This record gives sequence, structure tokens and C-alpha cells, in this order.
Amino acid sequence: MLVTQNLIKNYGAKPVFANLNVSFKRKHYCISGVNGCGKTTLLTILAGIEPATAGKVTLNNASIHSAITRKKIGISSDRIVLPELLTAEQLIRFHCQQHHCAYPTEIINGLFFDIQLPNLVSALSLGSLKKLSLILALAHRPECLLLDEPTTGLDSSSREWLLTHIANYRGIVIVTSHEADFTDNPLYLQLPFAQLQEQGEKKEEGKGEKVQ
Amino acid sequence: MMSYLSLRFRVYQHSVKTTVAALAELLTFLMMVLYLAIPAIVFTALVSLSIIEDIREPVSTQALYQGLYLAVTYLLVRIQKRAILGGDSQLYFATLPTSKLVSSLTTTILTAIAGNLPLLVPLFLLTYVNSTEQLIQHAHFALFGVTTLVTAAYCISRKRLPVVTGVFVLAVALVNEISSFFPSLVAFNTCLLLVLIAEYFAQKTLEHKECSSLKLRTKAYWQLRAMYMSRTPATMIMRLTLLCIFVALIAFMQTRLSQVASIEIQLICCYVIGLLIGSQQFEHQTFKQKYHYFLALEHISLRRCLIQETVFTLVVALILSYVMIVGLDFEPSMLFYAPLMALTTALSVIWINKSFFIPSAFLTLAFVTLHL
Repeated sequence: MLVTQNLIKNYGAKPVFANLNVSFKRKHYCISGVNGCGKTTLLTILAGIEPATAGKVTLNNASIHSAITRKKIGISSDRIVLPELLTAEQLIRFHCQQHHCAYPTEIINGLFFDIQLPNLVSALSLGSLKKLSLILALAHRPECLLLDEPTTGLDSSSREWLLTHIANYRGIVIVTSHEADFTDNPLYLQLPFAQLQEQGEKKEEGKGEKVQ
Repeated sequence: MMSYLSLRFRVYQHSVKTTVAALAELLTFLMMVLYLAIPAIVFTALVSLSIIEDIREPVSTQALYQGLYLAVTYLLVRIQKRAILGGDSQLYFATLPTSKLVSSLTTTILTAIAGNLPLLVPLFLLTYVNSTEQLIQHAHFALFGVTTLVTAAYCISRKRLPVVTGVFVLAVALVNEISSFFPSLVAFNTCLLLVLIAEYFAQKTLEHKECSSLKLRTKAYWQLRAMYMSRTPATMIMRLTLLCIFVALIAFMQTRLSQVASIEIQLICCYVIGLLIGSQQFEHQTFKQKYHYFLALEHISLRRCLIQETVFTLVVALILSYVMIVGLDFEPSMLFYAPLMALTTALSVIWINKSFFIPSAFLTLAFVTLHL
């Protein structure tokens, strides 16, 4: 279970969210909200790669900053710039070595990425970069999968494969998206970002409840 | 199989190469023209270390040399900071399940590589101390070695300049009343180290309270350019470092020879300074090429850009020539020559690109002939 406790994030004087207390117990969540409201920031904080102003995030009661817990998290976001000097295959092999996992042939084939493997990361198109980012997030079969706009830029076959794959995924899947595949999908518990912000504000006033 | 350290090292090399590529034209030229000056720069650094090591030197002299040495170390590491921390892929490295110890150790190794001689030589020299008596005798140098390491650590983990430490060193170097306050070099070096460590921890608190720079409303091209430069400061810092080394070299030569450089030499100095400042135009050109469509959309004409860039070049050249007139007793006419050389270089970058150093070279030759 992924839990946030009194999570606060400010950019200078501007608050992104305050006192966020969420327990991600179910399998599938979709966070939606207007552009620039802070969805990606929340995702990167949940992954432990961006510091929060205050509060903490735990996965199964362990801090997400420990190396062991980090192995249990997979994140795909355009905000994460991949090392451009390697080929896609070199990067995937490096990632698998770090996570001690098998080479993700099935995911590569599912996303029709095999043709791009010998290309340098710097030479990949936006769609291919998105696929590579997804492969890295999925490769080590993390317990908690955080996907930022996962279907943006994907071709229809890859998109279809991805949707089926994450629908059947054994673990927590938190997606940020505006697309109907997620927002109108009953499989996903809808978490509008504005609602999360409101809950935090209410908590500050002493009448908030924990979102579960 | 590639290890975490080797990938971080490759990313470091790649990022440094990208930064240096931005200064390629200028560096190639400097290597060509200042071929003999480069060993002299290394020599200057070694000389300054011999002064720092000398216990008989007064506190004010020590403060000056130590301050300059620490500034060079700081700048050297600062230029490469982004590369050391993983370049553009910092967030990617954060996603890896590497332990804090391994990632910190990798950062330390890369900092040592980046800091190179200025960072490691003081520690290397300390290995020659082979008795407790010698260590006590050279305690100030041991403290200086630690200060160099803390400076590098400060640079890597803090965003802001160590202003308080800088002011402290300057005050000791320039105000006799303050330098006489320290009974020994060990006392000065202990204070310097403590001030730096205190600032290291104080900055951590300040960074949490940092105000957002997003409040700044950008209206003009120069604001956009200034923000871009502040976000990617490596090439600007490198240019500044080269300028500082060059001016320090002139100051050093003048002090050793106990005379002010002749007007012909001053003109050649203006030429080099003009090249260093004027070649900033390469970065302006790259920026305009990259954001060509954006600038067009915002109705910012290239002419308006050029005027603002020229004003910037002239102001920097004027400030530097003023510093040289006051600090190095250069002729007041340098207020005219240095900006002229910088302007000529900047315009040459636009018109003849890679041969940018030729027009100002002819101009310098003409002025030197005129004075002869």
C-alpha cells in the first residue's frame, strides 16, 4: 500500500498541494486535472525522485527513498530525461542490470519497439521515447507503477497492448491522464486533482478525511 | 555490462563535451594564441600553492592567495556541476535502486575528477608530512586542504554562492585591521573553515525558503536571455574563469616585474579580453537559431536582439576595462579600446563566424603600430 502523510509541495511561495493524505490500496487509479495543476509533480514525489516540501510517502510502511523500496516502484514520465548517449538497447540492459531483472522481450515486442533498439536515445522520435520510458518503468515488474500520460504519442497497436497490459497488471497502477481510456474506465478509481487539493485544504481547517 | 559508476562517468564526459563544444571556437583560438601562457597558468597555480604553504607569509597575503585558489576550485567544479550530478538525466538516475552510499561515492569520485589538480594537489602535498611535528608546523596547510574539499562539497550540494565566506576572505585580504586580528595562520584558516561550514548549513535552511523566480515578468529579449543564461550558466562561468585567470596572470606578472605593462602590451590584453567577451556572441547566435520561430511569434526582431546583445557586450567590456584601470594601473584609453575590441569580435562572429578573431587582430596591430 502506497501512503502519503501530510504531504506538502510548494514552488517558492506557490502551493501545489497541502496536507495530502492518500492511501492507494486498490489496484488502479487515474489522477486527472487541468494542465499544469501538479499531477506530474505528485507522481514524481510518489516515486521519490522529487523532494516534497514536507510530509512523507511510504510503500508498505517503508520509506520510498530506500534502495529496496525504489526497486518496487516504476515510473514513466516525460519529465525524466533519459541518457542520450546510449542506444535504446544499451539503456534497457543497463536498467535490467540495476534492477536485477530479466531482459523485457515481451514488453519490447508488445510495444513494437524491437526495430528501435539499435538507435541512440537522442535519435528517437517522441513516440519511441515514450515507449522506451514505458519499457523501463515496466521491465522490473514493480509493485507500484506510476505512469504519466502513458498513451500520449503511441501508435494504435502499442496503445492497445499497453492498455491490456496495465489492466491486467498485478500491482498498484497510478495513471495521470485526460484520455477516455482511463477517465471513463470503471476499472480506474477517479481522483480529480482538485479534489485532492480540497481534501488537503479541509484537513488544514480540521475537517478533512483521508482519501482511500 | 555497464555499471552505475561507468554510466555516470559516461554521462559526465558527454555533458562536459557538450559544454566545451559551446566554447570550441574560442578555446581552439586561445590554445593557438596562448600556447605559451597555458604552462604559465599552471605555474601560477603552483606558485600560489608555495605561497599558501609558506608559514612566514602574512595573513593578508595568505587570505588573498587562498581566496583566489578556492575561487578557482569552486569555479572549476561549478562549471561541471550539472555533468557531475548526471547531466539532463538526473531524474533518471534518481529512479534507479542504487543505495545512497553508492550514488554519493560516485558523485565524490566524479567531483574529484572534475576538481582535478586544484582539488587534489593540496592533499597530495600533505602526504609528504611524515611526522606529528611537521603536521603541527603545517597545520594551516592541512586546514586549507580540508577547506578546499569543503568548497567542492559546498559547490555540489548548494545552489547559491558562498557569499559570506567570500566577503570574509576579501575583508581579511584587504583590511589590515581585520587581518591583524588573527594571531596566526592556523587561527585564520580555522576561522575560514568554520565560516564556510556554517554557511554550508545555513544555506540549506535558506534554500527551503527560496522565493520563486517565476514571479519575474519577462517583457524583453534581454530578460529572456538572462534567465536562459542563469539556468545554463556553465559556458558563462567558464568564460568568466578564463577572464579571471587572464587578469590574475597580468596582475601576477606586473607584481613580479614591479612595473606596469607598456601600452602595446595593454592593447594586446584588450584584444584577448575583447575576444573572451565578444565571443559570447556565439551563444547569442545559437539561442536565436534555436528559438527562431518563438522569437518571430513574439515579434522580437533580430535587430532588436542584436542591439541588446551589443549593449550587454559593451557594458561588460567597460566594467572590466575600468577594473583594469583601477586595479592594474592601465591607461584610461583602455575604456575605449577594450569595448571596441569586444564589439569588433561580436560583430565578426555574426559576419565571418569562425575567423572572428582576425578583424580585431588587425585593429590591434594598427593601434600598436600607431603607438610605436
